[in-house]
Amino acid sequence: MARQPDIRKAYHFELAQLGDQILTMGSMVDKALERSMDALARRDVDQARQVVADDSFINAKRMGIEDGAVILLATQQPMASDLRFITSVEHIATDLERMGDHARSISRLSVKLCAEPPMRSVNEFPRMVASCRQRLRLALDAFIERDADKALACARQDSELDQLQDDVYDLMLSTMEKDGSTIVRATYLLWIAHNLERVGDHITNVCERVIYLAKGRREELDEE
Amino acid sequence: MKIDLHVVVGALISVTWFVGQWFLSAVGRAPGADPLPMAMSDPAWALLTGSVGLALGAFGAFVVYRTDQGRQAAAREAFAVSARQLRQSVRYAVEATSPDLMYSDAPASALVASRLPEEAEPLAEALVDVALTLETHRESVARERVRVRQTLASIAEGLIISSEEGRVAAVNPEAARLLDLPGDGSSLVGQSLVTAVRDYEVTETLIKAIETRGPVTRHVRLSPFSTMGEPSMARRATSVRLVKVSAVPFASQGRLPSDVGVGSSRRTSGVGAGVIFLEDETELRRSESIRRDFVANVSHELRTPLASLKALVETLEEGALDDPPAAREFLRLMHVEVDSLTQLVFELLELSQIESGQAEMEKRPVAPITLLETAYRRLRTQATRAGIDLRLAAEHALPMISADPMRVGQVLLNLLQNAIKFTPEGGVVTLTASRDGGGIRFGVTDTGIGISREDLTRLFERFFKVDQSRASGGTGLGLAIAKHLVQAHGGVIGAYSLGEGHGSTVWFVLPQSGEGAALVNQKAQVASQTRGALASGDDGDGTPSIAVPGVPATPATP
Repeated sequence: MARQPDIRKAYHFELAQLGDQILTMGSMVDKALERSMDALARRDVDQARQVVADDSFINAKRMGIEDGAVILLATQQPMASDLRFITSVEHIATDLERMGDHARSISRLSVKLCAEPPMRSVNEFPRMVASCRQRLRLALDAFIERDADKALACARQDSELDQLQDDVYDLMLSTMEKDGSTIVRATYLLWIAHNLERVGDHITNVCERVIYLAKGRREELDEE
Repeated sequence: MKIDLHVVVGALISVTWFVGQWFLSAVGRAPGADPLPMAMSDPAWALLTGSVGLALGAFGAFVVYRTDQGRQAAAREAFAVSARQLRQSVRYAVEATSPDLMYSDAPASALVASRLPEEAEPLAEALVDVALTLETHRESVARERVRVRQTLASIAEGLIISSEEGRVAAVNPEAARLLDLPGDGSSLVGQSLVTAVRDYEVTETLIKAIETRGPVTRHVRLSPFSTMGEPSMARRATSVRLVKVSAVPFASQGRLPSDVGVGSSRRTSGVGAGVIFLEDETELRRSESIRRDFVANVSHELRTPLASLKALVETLEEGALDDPPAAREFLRLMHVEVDSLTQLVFELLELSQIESGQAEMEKRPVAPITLLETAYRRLRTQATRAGIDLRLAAEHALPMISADPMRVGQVLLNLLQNAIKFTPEGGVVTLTASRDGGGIRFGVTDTGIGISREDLTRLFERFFKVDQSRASGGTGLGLAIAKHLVQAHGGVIGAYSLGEGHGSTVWFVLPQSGEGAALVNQKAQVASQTRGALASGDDGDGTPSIAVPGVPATPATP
């Protein structure tokens, strides 16, 4: 295959393009996550609003990827691993879009939080975002390399996010108990933690897709 | 040849002999013929001699046959060898042009000039000529490549070249640094640009440039993963890079698969040939914002006393002059404002002098305890008046330090005044001095209002005030001046606090007097001076810096 003249050059080019599109979308989501958290930390309303507005680009990207996938399916009759690749691309694009939505939600909450008096910073948030970004990168690496082991390793890291979310939950509960005036703010922060945890779940979904892509069989990873 | 002839002759003789014997024996048996001697007519004899002849002939024929075959085989072999060598020579010659073998050590001519059969000599010579020419070209191309690589590496800007197919053709180390790519980025050559770079804003700049067929520039904020998890916002912020990304498309000669699109002319991504420049503007932007803040702060600090002066003058003009007691009070207030203006201008001048290294330090060996006692004596009354217990706790027999006693005294006074200002009545302020590595650590610890984590990171910035209102007075320059004075002495300064309401400590370490003292931390000092107010002795997290001047432990000069 490697040395043979590629008689379906355009087809293979388009397949590679689909992969590139997923990486591009991944980068958009990564930046949205990073910026939403940065806006929250610096109480930067403008940046938070920008993240909310930029989500439409992520959604548009997903549509573009879906169209590309459908056209390939319709015109090239892909088989076996190519077929799995194209269907996986569609699913991963959906998961990425949902992650973008969570970044948007975080930014919306940031805008609301900026109207409230400042509260002590939550050290778990930078760690949660770092975990999300690192895992997203790892999952997309696994996707490009079709590496099931990498995807599995990435999926297993989800427990860290769950743990951090629980920590935020405890912290916020005790804050609210101590000082009733913090209830509104603490609730917003709880939602932010929840959104980050959901991002982690979508990354796990991507990992499942990658394993399906690499091995041709589905593995449910949520149990662990 | 000789053998062949003998054998053939031998075989002929044998055959003749056999036929003759057979004939004779046949005649001998015929009726009426003279009986031949028994031996001659015996068919067994005839058979024997005939067989010998036949065997000899067959052997001869076999030898002839073998020799002929051997020669053919030898010729075939020789032909194969020469063909192989020729093929090899050609391959070497071709490989010499191939960039993959650019860095193979064996010169092509040596390989081509390996043993060749005579027949191939003219061809070989021609090949050697070709190979030599190729080798010259190869060397010059290799030199050129090294030169290009060195040039790329020495460019201060990050640079990525993308090929027609949207693959990385070249990437320099600065680009790898800015984009957080593995190593110096050279391992990414040949990969798809999108896969390698993983930053859509960077790749999109190139796509835009290709679409518009002209240069495109945008400013991108890059945030690496490595420091994302840092709980300290200050440290996280320093890892964020503000990068100017410019892309220039190369003139295209028709794009790869666009003509054979899959039923749709829609292009999913337009990465093509072009070059991306990445310029790190982080420091530039930071110093810009520091300058902007500085100007804003100075104007604010100047405007406030000026506004109250103006108000006081206007009140006097509008009739207060005729009321002598009120006028005197207004004059007193004006005095206060003028004093604070004078103080501000004085401190600004001093800060800029120390920062630019113009302020002269009259360094000489000083006993730390002398410095502490002077400061203690000067502020004891003020502390007592504020209801604060001022204490002095210094280690015994501390070595001398090399310092300008006036300037260090000024730092100590400044720290003490701050401590007294931010400590409520009944509190304790302790002045300490102790050995620390190769230097002396001075500290001012109070039981006052403490400093929050966020404030600790900004404590040594110009115009930074923990109390943003003007209630506590002060210009906000004191600690910035203290920082620069300590740095001018080759020392470090820092602060820590156990949190709001739990007091705080500001400390600084000065090198002992001795030969090494002057060399201390010069590098760090220069670096922090160029970075302006962002550099402070603390590590941005409030925990005391462990950067202690690396002074060789020399005995104190008396």
